[in-house]
Amino acid sequence: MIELKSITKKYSKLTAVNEISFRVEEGEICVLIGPSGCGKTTIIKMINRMLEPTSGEIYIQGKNIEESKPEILRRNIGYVIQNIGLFPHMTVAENIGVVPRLLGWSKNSITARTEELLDLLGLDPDEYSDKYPGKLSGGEAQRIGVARALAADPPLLLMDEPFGAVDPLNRERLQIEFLKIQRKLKKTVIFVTHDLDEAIRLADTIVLLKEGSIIQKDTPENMLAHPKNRFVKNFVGTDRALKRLARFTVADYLSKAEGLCIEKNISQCIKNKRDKLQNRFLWITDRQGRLMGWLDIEAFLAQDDIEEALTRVNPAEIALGADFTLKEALARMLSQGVSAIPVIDNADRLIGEINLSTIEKITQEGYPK
Amino acid sequence: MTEARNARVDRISILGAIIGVFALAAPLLVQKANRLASGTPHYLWNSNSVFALLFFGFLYFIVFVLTMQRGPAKMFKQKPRVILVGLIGNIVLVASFFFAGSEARRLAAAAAPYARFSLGAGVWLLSLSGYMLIVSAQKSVKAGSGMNLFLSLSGLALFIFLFGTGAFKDLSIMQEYAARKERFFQEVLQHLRLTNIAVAIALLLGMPLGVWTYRNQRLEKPIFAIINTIQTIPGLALFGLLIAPLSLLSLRYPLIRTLGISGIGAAPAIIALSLYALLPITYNTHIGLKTVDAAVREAGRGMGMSRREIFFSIEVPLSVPVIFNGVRTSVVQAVGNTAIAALIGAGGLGTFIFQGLGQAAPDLILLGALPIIALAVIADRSMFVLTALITPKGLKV
Amino acid sequence: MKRARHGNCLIILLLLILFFFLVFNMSIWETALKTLFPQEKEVIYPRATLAVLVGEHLILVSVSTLMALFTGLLFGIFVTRPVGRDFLEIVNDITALAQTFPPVAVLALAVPLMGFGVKPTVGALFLFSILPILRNTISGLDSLAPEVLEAARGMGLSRLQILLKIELPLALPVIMAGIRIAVVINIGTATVGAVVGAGGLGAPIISGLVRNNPAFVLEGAATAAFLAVIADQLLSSIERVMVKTEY
Ligand SMILES: Nc1ncnc2c1ncn2[C@@H]1O[C@H](COP(=O)(O)OP(=O)(O)OP(=O)(O)O)[C@@H](O)[C@H]1O
Ligand SMILES: [Mg+2]
Repeated sequence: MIELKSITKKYSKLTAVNEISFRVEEGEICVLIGPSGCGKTTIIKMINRMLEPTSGEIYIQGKNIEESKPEILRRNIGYVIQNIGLFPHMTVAENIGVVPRLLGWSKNSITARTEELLDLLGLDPDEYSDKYPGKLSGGEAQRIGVARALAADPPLLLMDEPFGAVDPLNRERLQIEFLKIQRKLKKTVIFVTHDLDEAIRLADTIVLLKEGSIIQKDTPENMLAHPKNRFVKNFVGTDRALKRLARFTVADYLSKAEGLCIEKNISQCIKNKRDKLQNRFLWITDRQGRLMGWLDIEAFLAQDDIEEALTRVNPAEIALGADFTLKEALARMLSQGVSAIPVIDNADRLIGEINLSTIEKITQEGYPK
Repeated sequence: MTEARNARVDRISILGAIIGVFALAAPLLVQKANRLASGTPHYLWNSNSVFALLFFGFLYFIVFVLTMQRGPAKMFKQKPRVILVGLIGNIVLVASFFFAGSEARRLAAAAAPYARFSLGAGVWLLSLSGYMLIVSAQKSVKAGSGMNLFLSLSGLALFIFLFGTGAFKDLSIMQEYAARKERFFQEVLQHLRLTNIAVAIALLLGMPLGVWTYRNQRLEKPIFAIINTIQTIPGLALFGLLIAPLSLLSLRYPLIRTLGISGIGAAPAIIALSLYALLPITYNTHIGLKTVDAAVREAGRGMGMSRREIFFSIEVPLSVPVIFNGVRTSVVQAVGNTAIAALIGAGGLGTFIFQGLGQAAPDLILLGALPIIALAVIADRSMFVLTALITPKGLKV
Repeated sequence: MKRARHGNCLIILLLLILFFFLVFNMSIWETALKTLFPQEKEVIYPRATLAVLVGEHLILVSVSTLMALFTGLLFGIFVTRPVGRDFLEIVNDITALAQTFPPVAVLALAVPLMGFGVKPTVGALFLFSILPILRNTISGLDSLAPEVLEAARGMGLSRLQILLKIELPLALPVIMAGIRIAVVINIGTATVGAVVGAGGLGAPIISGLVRNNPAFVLEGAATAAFLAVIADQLLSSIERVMVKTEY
């Protein structure tokens, strides 16, 4: 989709970007990351010709970008700039409509598109269309910034620290929403950040830069598992094993759960199975398969009283959904002091469990002894 | 300053009312045997118009009640209170002149034929008080709204109406006016003409200059050094400096003379006035453009706007309030500086001031000075309203 | 940086020397004006020498500015103290309003009240130059970082000490800018003061206009313009030095 070929950018003495080459495939999110001043913004700006490279070429869909007029090129690339830069004298709707208007869309289709995008980003069009940027919260403004970049439905999106100016909680929300949207829209995205967690959550590929050069280009999993050198190791941190867990979801590592339905002749069942059961605990569900709690088998066998041995729980508090990351699963295990956590679906039905031993196995992949 | 604050009858109106109450004790009129003699004061309380005293007393009583946060005024919401105070301000302003006028008429009937009645300190203090009440009310009413306009103009309209009915004609300043009615209007027009032409030229030069210095950083220093220096030159001196070269030019080149350009008169006046008006306009255009958020400009560029589009649909609308502020300063300054232009024979209201000074006739001085102040204040207020109207909605807090 | 400042001082010094040279050397004026206006019999304003006129002018300006400085500082300090805070808004509004009044009109209005001569001129100049000084004093004192004041209070300085040792020194450059504006406006308005008989550099200009003698006009106008420019340069360089030594 987009390819940079030995791009170099020099500012008089300083080489801001040095001989950089990489490709981003259609529908991929490529995250550029690195310390402040390593040239991330410079790279982004060369892609939409806000800056001209000193040497090298850039191809978008096989076409050298120098063949297009800068203005025309930019109208077909969504761009979220580092400081949002909403136009303060235009309403939210007018802000989103800028590029479509430049492209000569009809009024009706611009209105329709604006409403569609506001909906997509979870903002009520009736409420927000006629607001001015001065009245928006930081998170809302960031959303509008993204909506504005998406307005003309460009295949390529350049995002320069788009969620930089919001608090961590809101940033996480925005990231999750963005991933959801991206699954629907399948844009090619080049995303700049210096927040490693953000990169790990969003990236298909991470490009790690230092002083204008690429140090490592890899999938997040690989980069965390196999940092190429000391710089990368330091950059990803000593907790990289932990960070890496954020790349895997519970769904991928689900183990079969030992669960029993409470209505059946439960005492008999347990006694029959007794030898096969390895755990001290057994998940108990109701007739629809919804998680109710767990049973302490020893206690049950000693007293033969289900109610005494059963701990009833609120599934939402104890169990995880399948789309949680292993990092979250591990955190839950540690805080609750357990080695297995039940996994439920949207209707609270038990679909499996996740085990500490599974997680341990994954973390060790990156650390050969 | 343009946005409406929380509506509240504030301290300015209290101070205004206090000044007004004291003004009731000051002389309303000063009677003189003739144009140049010194006079005897007439007070509101020993005049026959006890009614006037009661009238003002009643108005100020209402103002004081309205400023209270408890008691009977609680019946009203804040907004109507504020508007009522503004209305009272307008009434006080007009009434002070009206009562002075009617008192002068009553006294004139009994006095010697050449007796003169000039406005006393009481009238000035009362109008200051009225003005303060209006300003205090306007702060709480949205700039550019109909109510704001009403508060600014209702007194003026009433004043003009009374003026038409001859309510003031026995006041000495009106006798000066009556003696040169046509001349007065000519000079008002001339004053406006000089001011407007000068500001128009300054706009045509200053705005492009502001854009130019903004685009070329290198020009910023030298150009502003020049314009700043011009601004520091005293007004009269600048007029004077232009006389010599222009008169030499018109002596040398008959063509220039036939165009009506010579050392004195309108030509040097307009040149000097527009040079003066240049700085605020140029400077504010420059600063307005310069302070447009870089991120916003960058966003426009990144979205594929051309330089022209960025200029007209981002930079200009965003700097309009600042530019208009500059224009306002220029206009107000020009109104004042035009007064000096009378000294080099360009006409305008300054003519009366300098004639009055020459003849030691205070009323004639007033006939020039008061309309100039009124013009300056009106220009200032209306530019405020205009700026508020033209400021893009998103920029208002 | 330092060299630039020295260069600036040097230029101002040269300008000052040139100014005094011109003021005290009437023969140069005579020659120059004679060549420019050969048709005039008399080219030098006869009633007073330039030196006297400049002296009168400076007295008008400095007396009124000093009075205004005193009043403006006093008011400015008062309304930024806790006791006077309530009046801050009124003072701001009144100064903003008063600034729309043209100086010439104020001068003219002073005559019926105070008669002719130096008195009304000084009065009008005084009233008018309070405005920039007061405004800048207020904005200088009001725009100090609250942390600084907090720190000073935390270190145990008394209110008076905070005012004298922290607030005023920090606000000084801004106040100085107000003084410069006041002086420049006053030099300008003082020339018009000649019309009401206050003397000064306006006198030759007015006399030249009345007698239709452009030489007198040029003599007064050029000197007044030069004086204003020098005052502006001098005061603004003092301002710059202040800003630089402050921070
Ligand atoms: N116009 C310019 N002139 C000279 N040097 C520049 C210019 N723009 C950027 N640089 C330098 O180029 C280098 C790369 O800048 P760039 O803005 O791309 O960094 P970045 O990775 O985006 O940093 P950040 O994370 O802080 O946004 C920096 O050292 C910067 O100082
Ligand atoms: Mg950057």
